[in-house]
Amino acid sequence: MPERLTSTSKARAKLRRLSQTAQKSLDRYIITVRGEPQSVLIGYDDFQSMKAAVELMQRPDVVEDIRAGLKELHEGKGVPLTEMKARVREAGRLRETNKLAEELAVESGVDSRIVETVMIHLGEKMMNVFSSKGSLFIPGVGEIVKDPRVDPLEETLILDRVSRESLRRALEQKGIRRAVKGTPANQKVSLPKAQKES
Amino acid sequence: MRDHLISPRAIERLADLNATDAELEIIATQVALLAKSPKLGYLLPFSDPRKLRRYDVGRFGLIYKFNDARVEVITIVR
Repeated sequence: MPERLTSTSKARAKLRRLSQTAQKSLDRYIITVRGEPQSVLIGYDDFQSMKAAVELMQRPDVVEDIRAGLKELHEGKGVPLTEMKARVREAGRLRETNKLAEELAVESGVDSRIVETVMIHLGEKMMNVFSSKGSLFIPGVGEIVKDPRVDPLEETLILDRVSRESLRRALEQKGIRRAVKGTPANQKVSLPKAQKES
Repeated sequence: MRDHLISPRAIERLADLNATDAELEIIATQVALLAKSPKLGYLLPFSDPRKLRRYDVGRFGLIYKFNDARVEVITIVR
């Protein structure tokens, strides 16, 4: 982005060319009057870039994100774009788990990191039990029964959300019927029957 | 052709902003377009001014750079 001094009379005579060069080559022309700088002619893209940069530089979180993102890419931690959707979904779930951990930490008075660690390990163990036995009882929630006709991804989705409220939301989102039997500690969750092909 | 890349930080931001599957697909399509049109978006005078650009897709601003004809998304801004 070279900066060049030019007088008003020269700038006036070559305005069209200066304007084109400013836009194409990002040259900047400092217009002088009696040898003193008075104004600057820059390309429109350059102007927009400056505005965008000023806006971003005023946001320390964005500047930090740019530094961190550049570092990650430099270290070879970049994720192929083909995996973007799955990774964003995974990050969203992790965020939900963290939020649950924080809520439970406040309710129980236990450090949220400990709660989070317990939740993750408990989730893994529950998943193993569910996979091997085909069913799982969650205290305060109910029994989840494996239905071979259900997409395994849906089972995973349900098991990712352990709290009763989250489980209810997950089931509702998936249009899954939930049968409640007995006390809240003895609820039964029924997975959907396979849809008949029309 | 080598895959275009996105940083884990950008992934986090997309999750924070609750990007929908449809929006992610649009972003992927636009990144492919960027690879063919390297001059799209605003140059950012940050670090090396010739390398960083901002390109807006829907409600997201992609901060990206080129690396050997591959687009690398550095982060996402709103």
